[in-house]
Amino acid sequence: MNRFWNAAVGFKSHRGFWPIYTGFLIYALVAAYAGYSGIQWRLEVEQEQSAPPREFAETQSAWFRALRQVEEGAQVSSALARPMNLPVLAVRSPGVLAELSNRNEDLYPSVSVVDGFSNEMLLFRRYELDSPTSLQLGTLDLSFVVVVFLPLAVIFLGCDLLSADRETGRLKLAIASGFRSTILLWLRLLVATAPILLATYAVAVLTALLAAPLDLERVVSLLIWLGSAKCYWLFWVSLTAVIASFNRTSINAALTAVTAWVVLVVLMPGLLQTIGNAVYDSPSKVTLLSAARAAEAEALKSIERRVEAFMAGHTNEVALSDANVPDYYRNAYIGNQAVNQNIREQIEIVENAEANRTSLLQFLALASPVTQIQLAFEEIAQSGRARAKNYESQVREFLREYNETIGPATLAKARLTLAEAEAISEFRFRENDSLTSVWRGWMVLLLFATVLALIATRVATKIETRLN
Amino acid sequence: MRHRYRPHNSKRFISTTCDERRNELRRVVPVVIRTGSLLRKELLEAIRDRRLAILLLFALALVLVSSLDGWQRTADAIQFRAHASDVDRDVWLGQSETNPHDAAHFGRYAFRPVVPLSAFDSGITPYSGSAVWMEAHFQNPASLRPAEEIVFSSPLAELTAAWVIQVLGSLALLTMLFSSVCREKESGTLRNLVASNVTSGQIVLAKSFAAMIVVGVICVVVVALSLLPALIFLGAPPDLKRILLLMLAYFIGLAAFGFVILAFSALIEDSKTALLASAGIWLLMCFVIPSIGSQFGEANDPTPRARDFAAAIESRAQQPFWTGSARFEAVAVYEAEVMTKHRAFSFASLGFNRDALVLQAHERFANPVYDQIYGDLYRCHQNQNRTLRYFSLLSPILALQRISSGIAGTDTFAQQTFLDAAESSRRKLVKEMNEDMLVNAGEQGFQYLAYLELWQKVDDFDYEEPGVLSVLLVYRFEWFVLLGWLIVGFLSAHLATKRLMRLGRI
Repeated sequence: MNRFWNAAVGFKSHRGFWPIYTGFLIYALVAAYAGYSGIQWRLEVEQEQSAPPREFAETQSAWFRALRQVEEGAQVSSALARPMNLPVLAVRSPGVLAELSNRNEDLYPSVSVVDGFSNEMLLFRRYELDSPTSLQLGTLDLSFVVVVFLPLAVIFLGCDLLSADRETGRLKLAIASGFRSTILLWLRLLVATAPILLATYAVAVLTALLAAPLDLERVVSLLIWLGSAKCYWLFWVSLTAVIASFNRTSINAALTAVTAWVVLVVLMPGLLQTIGNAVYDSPSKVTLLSAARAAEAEALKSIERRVEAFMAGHTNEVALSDANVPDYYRNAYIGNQAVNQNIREQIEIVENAEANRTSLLQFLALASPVTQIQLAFEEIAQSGRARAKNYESQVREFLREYNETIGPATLAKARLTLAEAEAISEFRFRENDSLTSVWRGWMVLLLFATVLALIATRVATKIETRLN
Repeated sequence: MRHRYRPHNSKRFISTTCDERRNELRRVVPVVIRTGSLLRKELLEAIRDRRLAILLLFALALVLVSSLDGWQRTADAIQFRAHASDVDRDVWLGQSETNPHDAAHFGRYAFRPVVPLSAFDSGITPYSGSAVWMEAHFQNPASLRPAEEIVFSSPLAELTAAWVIQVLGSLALLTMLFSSVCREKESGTLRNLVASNVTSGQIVLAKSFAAMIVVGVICVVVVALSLLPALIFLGAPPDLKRILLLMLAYFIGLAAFGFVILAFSALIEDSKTALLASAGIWLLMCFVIPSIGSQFGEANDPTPRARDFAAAIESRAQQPFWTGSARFEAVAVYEAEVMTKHRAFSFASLGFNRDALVLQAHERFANPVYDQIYGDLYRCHQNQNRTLRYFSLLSPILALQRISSGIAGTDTFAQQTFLDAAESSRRKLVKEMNEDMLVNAGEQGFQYLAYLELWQKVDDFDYEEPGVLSVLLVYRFEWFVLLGWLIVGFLSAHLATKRLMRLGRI
């Protein structure tokens, strides 16, 4: 046991311990800062979303109060409890472990008010208040720290473990004293880099504990997150082992390690992004907006014809009940329906292009461990673009249901029944619980790690044979 | 007092001066020759360094790919926005007879024109809204951020030509320079240099000149190469002044970074540690400091929450007028102005429409409130930017990034200019609609309809990109920071090499 310990720690590194301590300390500090900012972000968002805005709550309760009075037979103003005016708050709350992966969360809409005056193009406007510079530079979250800095810390601590000893001739001495080169390589690498993983674990657990209460779902997600971090660490440890064993000089080992980091962490994901965007072109939101504007203008010109057409299709549901209600509601409803119909096709084109891009990226990402772990972290934490798009799509779907419910009553200048109103008064976001990216990420990372570990072991054995 | 003419003294003076000059030349010529030889050696080493060549070729290939992609996307974006502006004009002019205030509610859109250099450096463009809805009663923030359309975001950045030069250009320099001084010590050549009376200043000069020549070539070739696709996609090169300024900024920024690496190379005595330390510095300067600076700015001046912002608009710009008491005073003041303008004793005698008066009075009431609410928001963004500006003291790359996006016209300043122009345009449009209704609607009120002649009176949204001079003024701090880094970097490299030479002499 003592012999192994000597192999791992006692066999002193040529560069002493200060770079190890410094590297570890910098990583731990950056990780702790990321954890702290994740906690702050979650607490702020949860505080903001803990209750609906006062104005919204007052409007909605006043609307229901008026409708109840109508159902009880009381006389109320014809302007009150109109179907078009029922506001519904659609909120996307932070995901199960979003405090660990909130880098781009502020970029996407998380709140929308659905009412009869919304259309699918205007559902998510007036939320874009964040500074573009902050969005561009993003938040430093723990997932980002793990994806970008963990590899750098691992290669910094381990890239020259064998090559430096070969360079100085100490390896020959160690082998002559009965040490195995593979044991020297792996034990020292694991001892040098395990604190990085442990520090990540500590920060992740503390962040999760302090950001929100840990229920079963959060505990399971946290365990999967920690498992993913471990797979990623294993991949980089194996790659570092290959670099450490392949290179004869420590300077070449360091250069190779830095190059590997730049290629895998910086360039490959950037290229994937460029390829994904270039291969499947999709209409921009500006084009969608133009289509929506043209449709709205066209609809406004032919309101009467459209109302007649709608009524002809809903003869059973529509019977004019209150002639005092202004045409304003009816016109707005018809205008928005025209916009929705017109841009739905465009949205489908965008969604199909995005689905194609995603499939292509998932295929290409098989060659990019960094992309794999990034996608896995987002999926576990329930954050990122996929979830935001899922939310937008669900709000659009909800708006369609809402419009179907209020349509006949709006055109008939009537009111909804209380049961109808209650059925559409609440939006519930359904999470996508799939963990496909996670399992795929684990498989890819472990496969790469195993292959690299085998190569490193083989090379280390060869070195030993040669030195013997 | 007049000086007397003394020929013999003058001759002596001339002879002394010549001797001094000769002696000086005897002293200087070998120094120049030695420095020149060192420079030649450094350049030869740089040319022969396969790692540097491979990295540069790789960076060039990336620059070409990213700029082709960037220019293609910019050309598409220019086309999309132009189409959207055309559609907006057609929709506006194609309105059938409508009440002017309804038309003001329908409004128009101001699309931010795509600046050609956004293909080179997209800056904040993907993260800032590209359109503003100009409607009655409400000032709206810019919407439609292109970044939301990106399916997968790389953890560090999207590949643009500017990014490749900033990040990979500095990495190439790092590869060239990390062992530049410490290798001399490791290989024993430093002792030879000390023995041949070469000074630390000469070493640093030679190495820095070599680095600056390489940086200069990189800047000219790479910037020119990345702008070349503009000729294919846009048919004309972008503004030459901006291109030259970009080249200058990149030259100073990269040279400053190079000096810092040189200083590290002299401070740290073995190549491997110098490489790892330099890589750490590179990572800090390119990624960590900008990110932490941005978060620091956000923490110091938090962006208002969307719900608070919406509540402020409702409670300060809408409710006090429509349901509160502010309406009476605002309407009375405007009514008095209208009467003065038309030299009337009573509003009724003018035969104008009172609804339109109230609507325009609301605009006049709400505009200063919007100036305050949006002013606070934009001030908050500016404060966040200012924090980031101070963080550029810690990183020449961050200063370079800020200057680059400023010159390219893809920075916060350009976005703010667009937003201000859009808001002025909105106020003008709504005023035109309300005033037409005020003068012409009479008793008809909201039943009054306007025709094409009115829609044609409304100018299309026009936005002029901020000029180069104003951009230079806005980013003067960053320019000073870059120059500061250049000087401090050079001095640090000099001092560190001097120290190493002293050690070498010992």
